[in-house]
Amino acid sequence: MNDPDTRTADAEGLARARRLVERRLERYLRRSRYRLFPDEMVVRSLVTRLARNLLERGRQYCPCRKVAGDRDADRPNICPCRSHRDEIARDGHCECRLFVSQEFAERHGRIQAADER
Amino acid sequence: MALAIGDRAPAFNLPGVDGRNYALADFAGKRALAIIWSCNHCPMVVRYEDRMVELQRDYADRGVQVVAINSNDVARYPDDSFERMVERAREKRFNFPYLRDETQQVARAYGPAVTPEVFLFDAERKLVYHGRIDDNPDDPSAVRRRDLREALDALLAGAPIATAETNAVGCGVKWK
Repeated sequence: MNDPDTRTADAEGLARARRLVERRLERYLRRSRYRLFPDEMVVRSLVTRLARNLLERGRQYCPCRKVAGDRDADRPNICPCRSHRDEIARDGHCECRLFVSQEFAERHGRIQAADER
Repeated sequence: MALAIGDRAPAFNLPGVDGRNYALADFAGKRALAIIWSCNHCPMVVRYEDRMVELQRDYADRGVQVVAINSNDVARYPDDSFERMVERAREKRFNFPYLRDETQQVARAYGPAVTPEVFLFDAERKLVYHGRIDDNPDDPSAVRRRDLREALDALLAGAPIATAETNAVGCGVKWK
Protein backbone atom coordinates (compact mmCIF):
# COMPACT_ATOMS: atom_id res chain seq x y z
CA MET A 1 0.00 0.00 0.00
CA ASN A 2 1.76 3.13 -1.11
CA ASP A 3 -1.12 5.48 -1.88
CA PRO A 4 -0.88 9.06 -0.65
CA ASP A 5 -3.57 8.56 2.03
CA THR A 6 -1.69 5.62 3.51
CA ARG A 7 1.57 7.52 3.47
CA THR A 8 -0.06 10.52 5.10
CA ALA A 9 -1.62 8.35 7.79
CA ASP A 10 1.76 6.67 8.41
CA ALA A 11 3.49 10.04 8.65
CA GLU A 12 0.86 11.38 11.04
CA GLY A 13 1.07 8.26 13.17
CA LEU A 14 4.83 8.49 13.31
CA ALA A 15 4.67 12.19 14.20
CA ARG A 16 2.28 11.42 17.09
CA ALA A 17 4.50 8.60 18.26
CA ARG A 18 7.53 10.89 18.13
CA ARG A 19 5.81 13.52 20.24
CA LEU A 20 4.86 10.90 22.80
CA VAL A 21 8.41 9.52 22.92
CA GLU A 22 9.84 13.02 23.27
CA ARG A 23 7.50 13.86 26.15
CA ARG A 24 8.46 10.63 27.92
CA LEU A 25 12.16 11.32 27.43
CA GLU A 26 11.79 14.86 28.73
CA ARG A 27 10.02 13.58 31.85
CA TYR A 28 12.72 10.98 32.41
CA LEU A 29 15.57 13.44 31.96
CA ARG A 30 13.99 15.86 34.44
CA ARG A 31 14.10 13.24 37.17
CA SER A 32 17.38 11.54 36.22
CA ARG A 33 20.94 12.82 36.27
CA TYR A 34 21.51 11.92 32.62
CA ARG A 35 21.67 13.98 29.46
CA LEU A 36 20.92 13.23 25.82
CA PHE A 37 23.83 12.53 23.48
CA PRO A 38 25.15 15.95 22.41
CA ASP A 39 24.45 15.54 18.69
CA GLU A 40 21.01 16.46 17.40
CA MET A 41 21.16 14.10 14.44
CA VAL A 42 22.04 11.11 16.60
CA VAL A 43 19.19 11.90 19.00
CA ARG A 44 16.75 12.52 16.16
CA SER A 45 17.60 9.15 14.58
CA LEU A 46 17.22 7.30 17.84
CA VAL A 47 13.94 9.02 18.70
CA THR A 48 12.62 8.14 15.24
CA ARG A 49 13.48 4.50 15.82
CA LEU A 50 11.86 4.56 19.26
CA ALA A 51 8.75 6.11 17.71
CA ARG A 52 8.65 3.46 14.98
CA ASN A 53 8.94 0.72 17.54
CA LEU A 54 6.14 2.31 19.55
CA LEU A 55 3.95 2.60 16.45
CA GLU A 56 4.71 -0.81 14.98
CA ARG A 57 5.33 -2.92 18.05
CA GLY A 58 3.33 -1.10 20.70
CA ARG A 59 6.29 -0.20 22.91
CA GLN A 60 9.32 2.05 22.62
CA TYR A 61 11.91 -0.67 22.48
CA CYS A 62 15.57 0.30 22.35
CA PRO A 63 16.58 0.91 18.73
CA CYS A 64 19.75 -1.10 19.16
CA ARG A 65 18.33 -4.28 20.63
CA LYS A 66 16.66 -7.14 18.86
CA VAL A 67 12.95 -7.44 19.62
CA ALA A 68 12.16 -11.11 20.14
CA GLY A 69 8.41 -10.68 19.85
CA ASP A 70 7.83 -12.00 23.37
CA ARG A 71 6.40 -9.20 25.53
CA ASP A 72 7.87 -10.57 28.75
CA ALA A 73 11.30 -11.26 27.29
CA ASP A 74 11.36 -7.87 25.55
CA ARG A 75 10.16 -5.82 28.54
CA PRO A 76 13.71 -5.08 29.82
CA ASN A 77 14.46 -3.39 26.50
CA ILE A 78 11.75 -0.76 26.72
CA CYS A 79 13.52 2.59 26.75
CA PRO A 80 14.86 3.61 29.25
CA CYS A 81 16.01 0.00 29.30
CA ARG A 82 16.91 -2.03 32.35
CA SER A 83 20.63 -2.03 31.65
CA HIS A 84 21.11 1.64 30.80
CA ARG A 85 22.25 2.73 34.27
CA ASP A 86 25.00 0.10 34.42
CA GLU A 87 26.07 0.93 30.86
CA ILE A 88 26.28 4.64 31.57
CA ALA A 89 28.22 4.00 34.79
CA ARG A 90 30.68 1.83 32.86
CA ASP A 91 30.96 3.60 29.48
CA GLY A 92 29.48 7.04 29.96
CA HIS A 93 26.60 6.20 27.64
CA CYS A 94 23.89 3.60 27.22
CA GLU A 95 24.01 0.96 24.49
CA CYS A 96 22.56 3.12 21.72
CA ARG A 97 24.07 6.33 23.15
CA LEU A 98 20.76 8.09 23.63
CA PHE A 99 21.46 8.71 27.32
CA VAL A 100 24.89 9.82 28.46
CA SER A 101 26.45 10.90 31.73
CA GLN A 102 26.93 14.60 32.39
CA GLU A 103 30.70 14.12 32.18
CA PHE A 104 30.41 12.45 28.79
CA ALA A 105 28.12 15.21 27.50
CA GLU A 106 30.51 17.92 28.67
CA ARG A 107 33.56 16.18 27.23
CA HIS A 108 31.84 15.49 23.94
CA GLY A 109 30.35 18.96 23.84
CA ARG A 110 33.83 20.49 23.95
CA ILE A 111 35.01 18.26 21.10
CA GLN A 112 31.97 19.20 19.05
CA ALA A 113 32.63 22.91 19.53
CA ALA A 114 36.19 22.55 18.24
CA ASP A 115 34.95 20.77 15.09
CA GLU A 116 32.48 23.52 14.36
CA ARG A 117 35.11 26.25 14.23
CA MET B 1 40.49 6.18 22.01
CA ALA B 2 39.70 6.36 18.30
CA LEU B 3 42.18 7.31 15.61
CA ALA B 4 42.48 11.03 15.01
CA ILE B 5 42.21 12.73 11.64
CA GLY B 6 45.63 12.46 10.00
CA ASP B 7 46.58 9.21 11.77
CA ARG B 8 47.75 6.33 9.62
CA ALA B 9 45.69 3.17 9.32
CA PRO B 10 46.98 0.45 11.64
CA ALA B 11 47.90 -2.78 9.86
CA PHE B 12 45.60 -5.76 9.99
CA ASN B 13 45.34 -9.26 8.58
CA LEU B 14 41.91 -10.78 9.02
CA PRO B 15 39.88 -13.65 7.59
CA GLY B 16 37.15 -12.76 5.15
CA VAL B 17 33.83 -14.49 4.55
CA ASP B 18 35.04 -15.59 1.12
CA GLY B 19 37.68 -17.85 2.68
CA ARG B 20 40.70 -15.65 2.08
CA ASN B 21 42.66 -13.42 4.41
CA TYR B 22 42.88 -9.67 3.84
CA ALA B 23 45.69 -7.41 4.98
CA LEU B 24 45.76 -3.62 4.89
CA ALA B 25 48.61 -3.86 2.37
CA ASP B 26 46.35 -5.78 -0.03
CA PHE B 27 44.54 -2.51 -0.78
CA ALA B 28 47.69 -0.57 -1.54
CA GLY B 29 46.58 0.31 -5.06
CA LYS B 30 43.32 1.92 -3.96
CA ARG B 31 42.93 5.71 -3.95
CA ALA B 32 40.65 5.50 -0.93
CA LEU B 33 39.85 2.87 1.65
CA ALA B 34 36.60 3.04 3.64
CA ILE B 35 36.74 0.69 6.60
CA ILE B 36 33.30 0.32 8.15
CA TRP B 37 32.83 -1.31 11.52
CA SER B 38 29.80 -3.52 11.13
CA CYS B 39 28.05 -6.60 12.46
CA ASN B 40 25.18 -8.93 11.71
CA HIS B 41 22.66 -8.06 14.37
CA CYS B 42 22.54 -4.31 14.96
CA PRO B 43 19.25 -2.90 13.63
CA MET B 44 21.12 0.23 12.54
CA VAL B 45 23.64 -1.75 10.50
CA VAL B 46 20.84 -3.66 8.84
CA ARG B 47 19.44 -0.34 7.63
CA TYR B 48 22.75 0.61 6.04
CA GLU B 49 23.77 -2.63 4.37
CA ASP B 50 22.17 -1.84 1.02
CA ARG B 51 23.76 1.61 1.09
CA MET B 52 27.17 0.04 1.73
CA VAL B 53 26.72 -2.22 -1.30
CA GLU B 54 25.63 0.78 -3.40
CA LEU B 55 28.63 2.75 -2.23
CA GLN B 56 31.07 0.06 -3.34
CA ARG B 57 29.23 -0.32 -6.63
CA ASP B 58 29.20 3.43 -7.30
CA TYR B 59 32.83 4.11 -6.39
CA ALA B 60 34.65 0.91 -7.38
CA ASP B 61 35.77 2.22 -10.75
CA ARG B 62 37.16 5.35 -9.12
CA GLY B 63 39.62 3.33 -7.06
CA VAL B 64 37.67 3.18 -3.83
CA GLN B 65 37.44 0.08 -1.66
CA VAL B 66 34.91 -0.56 1.08
CA VAL B 67 35.87 -3.10 3.75
CA ALA B 68 33.59 -4.14 6.60
CA ILE B 69 34.96 -5.49 9.87
CA ASN B 70 33.01 -7.29 12.60
CA SER B 71 34.76 -7.30 15.99
CA ASN B 72 31.82 -8.14 18.24
CA ASP B 73 32.15 -10.66 21.05
CA VAL B 74 30.56 -13.82 19.71
CA ALA B 75 30.24 -15.37 23.17
CA ARG B 76 27.63 -12.79 24.11
CA TYR B 77 26.30 -12.20 20.60
CA PRO B 78 26.29 -15.51 18.73
CA ASP B 79 24.51 -13.81 15.82
CA ASP B 80 27.89 -12.25 15.03
CA SER B 81 29.64 -15.56 14.49
CA PHE B 82 31.78 -16.06 11.39
CA GLU B 83 29.27 -18.57 10.03
CA ARG B 84 26.48 -16.01 10.34
CA MET B 85 28.72 -13.43 8.69
CA VAL B 86 29.13 -15.74 5.69
CA GLU B 87 25.35 -16.17 5.49
CA ARG B 88 24.72 -12.46 5.82
CA ALA B 89 27.23 -11.54 3.14
CA ARG B 90 25.65 -14.04 0.78
CA GLU B 91 22.10 -12.95 1.59
CA LYS B 92 22.82 -9.26 1.10
CA ARG B 93 25.23 -9.86 -1.78
CA PHE B 94 28.08 -7.94 -0.23
CA ASN B 95 30.45 -6.72 -2.95
CA PHE B 96 33.20 -5.89 -0.48
CA PRO B 97 35.32 -7.92 1.95
CA TYR B 98 33.59 -8.65 5.27
CA LEU B 99 36.26 -9.51 7.80
CA ARG B 100 36.21 -11.09 11.24
CA ASP B 101 38.29 -9.49 14.02
CA GLU B 102 38.00 -12.27 16.59
CA THR B 103 40.56 -10.98 19.10
CA GLN B 104 39.29 -7.37 18.81
CA GLN B 105 42.90 -6.20 18.42
CA VAL B 106 42.08 -4.35 15.22
CA ALA B 107 39.06 -2.70 16.82
CA ARG B 108 41.23 -1.58 19.73
CA ALA B 109 43.74 -0.13 17.29
CA TYR B 110 41.12 1.85 15.33
CA GLY B 111 38.73 2.65 18.16
CA PRO B 112 35.19 2.39 16.77
CA ALA B 113 32.45 3.07 19.29
CA VAL B 114 29.42 1.80 17.37
CA THR B 115 28.33 -0.10 14.30
CA PRO B 116 28.19 1.14 11.62
CA GLU B 117 31.12 3.52 11.94
CA VAL B 118 33.37 4.65 9.08
CA PHE B 119 37.11 5.26 8.93
CA LEU B 120 38.00 6.71 5.51
CA PHE B 121 41.65 6.74 4.48
CA ASP B 122 43.36 8.42 1.54
CA ALA B 123 45.89 6.84 -0.81
CA GLU B 124 48.62 7.26 1.82
CA ARG B 125 46.34 5.63 4.37
CA LYS B 126 45.91 8.75 6.46
CA LEU B 127 42.52 9.13 8.11
CA VAL B 128 40.55 11.86 6.37
CA TYR B 129 36.99 11.19 7.52
CA HIS B 130 35.55 9.43 10.55
CA GLY B 131 31.93 8.88 11.56
CA ARG B 132 28.59 8.16 9.98
CA ILE B 133 27.62 7.06 6.49
CA ASP B 134 24.84 9.65 6.25
CA ASP B 135 22.38 11.47 8.48
CA ASN B 136 19.34 9.19 8.24
CA PRO B 137 19.56 5.51 9.12
CA ASP B 138 15.81 5.20 8.85
CA ASP B 139 14.96 6.47 5.40
CA PRO B 140 17.49 6.59 2.55
CA SER B 141 15.17 8.86 0.56
CA ALA B 142 15.17 11.43 3.36
CA VAL B 143 18.94 11.71 3.69
CA ARG B 144 20.09 15.33 3.73
CA ARG B 145 23.79 14.87 4.41
CA ARG B 146 25.52 12.04 2.59
CA ASP B 147 28.60 12.49 4.70
CA LEU B 148 30.70 9.57 3.50
CA ARG B 149 29.92 10.21 -0.18
CA GLU B 150 30.67 13.90 0.24
CA ALA B 151 33.99 13.07 1.87
CA LEU B 152 34.82 10.60 -0.91
CA ASP B 153 33.91 13.08 -3.65
CA ALA B 154 36.11 15.74 -2.07
CA LEU B 155 38.97 13.31 -1.54
CA LEU B 156 38.88 12.04 -5.11
CA ALA B 157 38.71 15.59 -6.44
CA GLY B 158 41.71 16.62 -4.35
CA ALA B 159 39.58 19.09 -2.43
CA PRO B 160 39.45 19.61 1.35
CA ILE B 161 36.85 17.57 3.20
CA ALA B 162 34.44 20.06 4.72
CA THR B 163 33.32 17.88 7.62
CA ALA B 164 36.00 15.42 8.66
CA GLU B 165 34.25 14.04 11.71
CA THR B 166 30.64 13.22 12.52
CA ASN B 167 28.97 11.15 15.21
CA ALA B 168 27.89 7.72 14.04
CA VAL B 169 24.54 6.29 15.19
CA GLY B 170 24.41 2.63 16.03
CA CYS B 171 24.86 -0.13 18.57
CA GLY B 172 27.92 -0.14 20.75
CA VAL B 173 30.79 -2.42 19.70
CA LYS B 174 30.48 -5.52 21.85
CA TRP B 175 33.77 -5.72 23.69
CA LYS B 176 34.99 -8.86 25.41
